[in-house]
Amino acid sequence: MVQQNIELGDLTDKNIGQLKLLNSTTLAVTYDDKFYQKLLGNGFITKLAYFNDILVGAVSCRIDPPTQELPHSSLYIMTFGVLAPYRNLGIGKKLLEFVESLCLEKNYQKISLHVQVGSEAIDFYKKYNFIIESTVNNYYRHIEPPHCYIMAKSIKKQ
Amino acid sequence: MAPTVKSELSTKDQGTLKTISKLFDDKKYKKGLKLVETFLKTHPENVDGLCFKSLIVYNMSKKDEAHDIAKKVLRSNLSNSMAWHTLGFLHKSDKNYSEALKCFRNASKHAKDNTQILKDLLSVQLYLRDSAGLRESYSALLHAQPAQKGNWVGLILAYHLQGNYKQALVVLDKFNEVLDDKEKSGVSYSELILYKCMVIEESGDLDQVMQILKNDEKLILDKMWSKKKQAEILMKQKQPEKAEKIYRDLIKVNPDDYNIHRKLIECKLGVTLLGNDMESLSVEQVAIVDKLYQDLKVSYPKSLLIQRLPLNYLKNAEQFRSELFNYVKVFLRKGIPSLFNSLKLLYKNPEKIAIIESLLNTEMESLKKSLTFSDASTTTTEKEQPSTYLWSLYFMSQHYDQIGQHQKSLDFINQAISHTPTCVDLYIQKAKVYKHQGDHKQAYQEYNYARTLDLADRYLNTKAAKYALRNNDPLTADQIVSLIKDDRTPLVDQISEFQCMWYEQELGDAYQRCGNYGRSLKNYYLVDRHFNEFLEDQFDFHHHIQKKLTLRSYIEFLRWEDNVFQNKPYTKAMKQLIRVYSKLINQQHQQNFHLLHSNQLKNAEELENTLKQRRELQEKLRNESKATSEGQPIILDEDPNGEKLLQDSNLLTTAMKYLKTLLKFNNDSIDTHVLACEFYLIKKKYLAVLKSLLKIKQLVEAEGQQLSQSNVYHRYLIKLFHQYDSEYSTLGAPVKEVVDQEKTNLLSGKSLVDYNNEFLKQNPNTIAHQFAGTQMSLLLNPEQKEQLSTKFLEISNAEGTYKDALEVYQFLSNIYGNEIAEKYRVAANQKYPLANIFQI
Repeated sequence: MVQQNIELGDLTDKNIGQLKLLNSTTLAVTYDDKFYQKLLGNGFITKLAYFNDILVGAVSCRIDPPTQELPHSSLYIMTFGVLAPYRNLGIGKKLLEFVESLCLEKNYQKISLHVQVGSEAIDFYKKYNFIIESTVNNYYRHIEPPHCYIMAKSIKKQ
Repeated sequence: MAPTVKSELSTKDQGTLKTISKLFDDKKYKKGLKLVETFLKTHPENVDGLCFKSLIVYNMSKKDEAHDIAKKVLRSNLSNSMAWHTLGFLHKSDKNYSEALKCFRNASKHAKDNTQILKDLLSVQLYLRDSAGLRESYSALLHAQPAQKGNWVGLILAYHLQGNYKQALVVLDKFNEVLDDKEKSGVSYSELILYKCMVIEESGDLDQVMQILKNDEKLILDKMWSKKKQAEILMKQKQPEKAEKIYRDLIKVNPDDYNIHRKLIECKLGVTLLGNDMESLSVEQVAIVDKLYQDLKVSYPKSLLIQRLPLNYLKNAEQFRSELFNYVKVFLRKGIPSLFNSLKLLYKNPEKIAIIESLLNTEMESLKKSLTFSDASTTTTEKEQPSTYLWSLYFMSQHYDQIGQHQKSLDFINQAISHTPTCVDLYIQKAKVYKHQGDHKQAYQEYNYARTLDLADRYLNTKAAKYALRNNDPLTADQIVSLIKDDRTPLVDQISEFQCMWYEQELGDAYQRCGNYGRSLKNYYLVDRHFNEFLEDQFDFHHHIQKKLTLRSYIEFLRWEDNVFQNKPYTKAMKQLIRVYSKLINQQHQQNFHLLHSNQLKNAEELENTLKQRRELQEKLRNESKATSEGQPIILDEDPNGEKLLQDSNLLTTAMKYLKTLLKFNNDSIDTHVLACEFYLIKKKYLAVLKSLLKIKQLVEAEGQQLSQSNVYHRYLIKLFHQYDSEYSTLGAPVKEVVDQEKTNLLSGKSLVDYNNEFLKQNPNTIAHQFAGTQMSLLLNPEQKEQLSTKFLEISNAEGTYKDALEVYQFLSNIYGNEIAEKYRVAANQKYPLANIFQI
């Protein structure tokens, strides 16, 4: 079997259409154009994953400023998806590793996200030591079930 | 240009002339004109002053005035070289090269040692391939400036172009003597040696070339060329074993050069291969070649070309299948989208097509089921990558598209898209399937979707513009290409500045389909203009080459220029240009000529607005430049819609001019001769029609097609002899003698009606043939027009592509009118549901 070739790339105003397509395929929630335009600005981080030069996965995060409870900035994962046929090949892992290394570099001390109750993604996050912090009922408006968990992981410098 | 300073002028006046000359060189025409006019007030007859005035006003776009002045000066100063030189300069700028040549020659006569005049003279001589004159000029120039290397080179070139190899070599050797030792190494000197080899080779002395290539091996830096040349000569000298050794060395350097492999095979077999075709090899020959490639495959396991080559020649189905399997696996695993294209050549052979289909189907199913190839052991846990399955789906879509099964093709590409929707290539393939079925609307939409996925990709952008043009939508195409235009000079016609000919071709075609013949012609004429610009490029190259001594490439370039009109973008555009003229000419005869309703420009109104706005902006820019700048003024196209071209009172003569160029430079094309038949029939030149008909016959036979199956040949055979018969009494004896004899030959003594009926019977199942035959039935029996309409309508049942059906539809709507055409359209629409042209 040929060596797998997974590479990470950046979002630009030229390839944003591909991200839109990827998310609409992998995620239950649809986002509008405004959302995607926002991703190109400050305070947001997107990483694209290519498998043999084809875009198959992506993660988009928002940088949240420090709050009273959290004295450091933290990362919130807004969207995270890998095309179904390309799962379990280490692509999600690579994207998550990128996010974690970024946190270490910039000293973001927490990663959090919303995940739909019953989603197969929960096991994925658990594998990487995310824990369920709380449940939000009726978080989603147009999908079933409408409830979600907040999952999070603390990042500490070794 | 330097003034020929006259002694009777004061120092001050001489200074003024120098200032004028400087202003002219710096393109400060307004200031220059002011100064020269002041000067001429006191010296109204001064030749230099008048010449400068002429040159300055020429550059201020007053060409007629410039010519008037120059001619007037010359009339009263017939032996003044400056006067001749000036007029020559004007002619050269007007691209009237033969007149320029005469003027420069006269200028040179009256100023023998003026090297500037000689240089101007010889550049025109070279352009006009006046090699004898060129030799004289260079002799004179070398005499005047023997230290200039370029003059030696020029003289050598002139002798070479004259075909005087002996003298060329004599001068070359003398030139070699005057070179310093330190000049006898490096790239330039290596080029000079190789150029010498070229001259000697053309003189026929192959032994000597071999000797030089061996003796000067260390000095020659272009090792590859040297080796290829040696092998080529060895082949000519019937020493294939020695040549083979060299070719094997060359493969070591680059195992993926197809031409080297071809030569190697030719060495092994002792035959010359025609084209890329290895299907015609005998079983014995295949055995020899296969032994060679089984070895090479072991030596070069990474060369994709060496893996593929056996697929071209193999005859044994089992062996072909197993080679194909190994080859396909590599491509699918690596995800190389060009897999199909690399196999496309094999689609001439139906047996190979069947094997490809069955093999790929098996593998695709196997990948679908277990993500392994069919040869994987059942216990293995090693999986292929998901993209391997994706590319197998992609291939299947291309395969079915190629063999005309568009529904299957679409099914596979849709499966691929739901598997990996982010893969851009898939939408391109989907667009292609729609395009091939005539659904240009959907094809554009798919392609444009691919474009939006990767907006930074210029290829996708330009191709999307092409798909828009195929969809008769110049406005959208314009908007897309505007994205990649240069921002600094907005909206001035950059497409033609870029010499972007595919765009002009497609735009011309779109306008032609939509009946805007003026704009259609304009675009084809732009292609013509670019090719003439390529001819002009010679002037720029000439100076460069003399410094670099890359004479081999230069000679090749000059020879390419000699045949520049052979190039496909040119012949393609000119054929379309002539077709438009043909339509215009026929329109004058035919009242009910009209377009198919589906051929309408999309967004027509908005397009006109855009073009109008652009025109206004150009006018504004021109006026601004007129008011301020000193440089070249912006010239506006006076006839942007080609209306003047349509008012041409002699369309036939204009078209004939381009037809003759095609007959000269594209004589091996059936299409050229089809056009020639059409036009010479109008002109009633039966010998010329016959000549083209016989050429069509020859070309059809060379393609391995049966003459009785060529609808093109059949159509013009009947057309010619039918018209010839009806005009028989008006023709002269010499014409009759030739044509009568050929007629008996070609028709084997049958009547035209019998011959045509036979053709119809022999080719009962194909649209193209039934159409040609029935069309000819109508020509031979116009009184049967009513009955034949049923015949025409029946053609819709025969086999063919939507394009074949379109020709019938177009013909019916022209000849039979809407009612019959509409019946045909309904039938065609059922058969080709995707083709836009048959949709309402």
